[in-house]
Amino acid sequence: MSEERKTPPYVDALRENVGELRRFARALVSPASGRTADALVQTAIARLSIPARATDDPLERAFGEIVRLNRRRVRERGRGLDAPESGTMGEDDRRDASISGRIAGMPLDEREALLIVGLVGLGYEAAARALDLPSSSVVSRLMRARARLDGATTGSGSRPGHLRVVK
Amino acid sequence: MKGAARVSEAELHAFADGQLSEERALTIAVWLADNPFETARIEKWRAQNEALRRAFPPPERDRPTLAVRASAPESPPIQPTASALGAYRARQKRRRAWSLGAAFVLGAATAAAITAASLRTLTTPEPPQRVAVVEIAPAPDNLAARATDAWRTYAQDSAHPIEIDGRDPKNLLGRLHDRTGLDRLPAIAHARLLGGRVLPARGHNAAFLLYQTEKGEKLALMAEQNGGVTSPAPVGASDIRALTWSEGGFDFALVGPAAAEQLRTTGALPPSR
Repeated sequence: MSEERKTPPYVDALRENVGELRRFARALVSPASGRTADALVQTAIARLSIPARATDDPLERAFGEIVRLNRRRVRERGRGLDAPESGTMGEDDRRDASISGRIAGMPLDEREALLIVGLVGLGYEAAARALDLPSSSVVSRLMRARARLDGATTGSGSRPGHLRVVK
Repeated sequence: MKGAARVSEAELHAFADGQLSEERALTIAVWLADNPFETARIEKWRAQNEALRRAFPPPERDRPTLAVRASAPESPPIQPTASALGAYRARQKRRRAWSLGAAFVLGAATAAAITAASLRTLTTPEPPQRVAVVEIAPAPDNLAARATDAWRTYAQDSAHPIEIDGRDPKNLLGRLHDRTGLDRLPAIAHARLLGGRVLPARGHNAAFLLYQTEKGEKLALMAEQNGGVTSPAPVGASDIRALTWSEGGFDFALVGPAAAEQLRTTGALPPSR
């Protein structure tokens, strides 16, 4: 008599989207190695083995867990962490060195906001839950990150928070 | 500026990321048509997102899925389609008609608030967009009587006078708009909005909003859709008085223990003519 083990739905959701999780983690830890990113994803998924409330989005929780794990990793390794690991620059980094280099040079808080919205495509509310921040903070960090990416943080471009009148 | 609204830097980012309501996104898209500099910035942010996705593709051994992005809202096109623009302009026309009426209440409320600036106000009236000239016409049917009945039932109910708390105006307005079509929550000077509920009315629904004055008196504003426009008129001879008027496609009745003239001085209504 065979015993059929049925996986919970949240496991299926994570399994189907593990590529998105790994992609986010690799961008987040860049220029650290892909192995570091994959380890974060593995740990995050393992931590989600106990499902929270049924209404929780497991994928959103997984992104949030990756963010928390990476913040801890950064704290533990200190400022030196953002320096590239010797010989670990991935092929993807070489393929688009300009943008990945700028991402790697960004403050972590801005990088998180930019990647969770711009790369993953989460909405502001979902991003706020994943980053454990008010959505207003997510937006302000996103604004700073985009300005930095554009090299306009100190330029004479737009002023964040500036109001325009529309009809 | 007449009918003006403001858009912030954050709102432009929200537009780029498809985070605005369809209506607001369309408003900004129309505005962007005259602002090529801001349009270019939005295009740049979207290009940044695309560059990010190219720079960090999904790892090859994983099959990419669209499940994540399927739940994310689509970014609206910067140039709206002709049909979307047509529908938008029609809505704007209807909204202007409604704002004419709403400003009738809000404008008077704000004026009263300014003149009584030394008094402590418990609510902040919305700034007026314009004051409408309202033609005198017969007061609505038995709205005053029904509003007074509703006031007696709910304003006197100490346990559950309202369905949705006024401290959650977004939820309250969403509920009332869905069921009654009411577009905004009128402010009454020197009175705080406690909340509201939906009531039956002439085959459809009415919005019932409950306010509390600084003296602790409960005022109820009942609004239901109609087609006429009338000026405020006092109704009733008891200690519970009501004022009714019609504007912007709605019949309104303001009910409370204060006399009609006292109700006028709450700032919700213009002086009688």
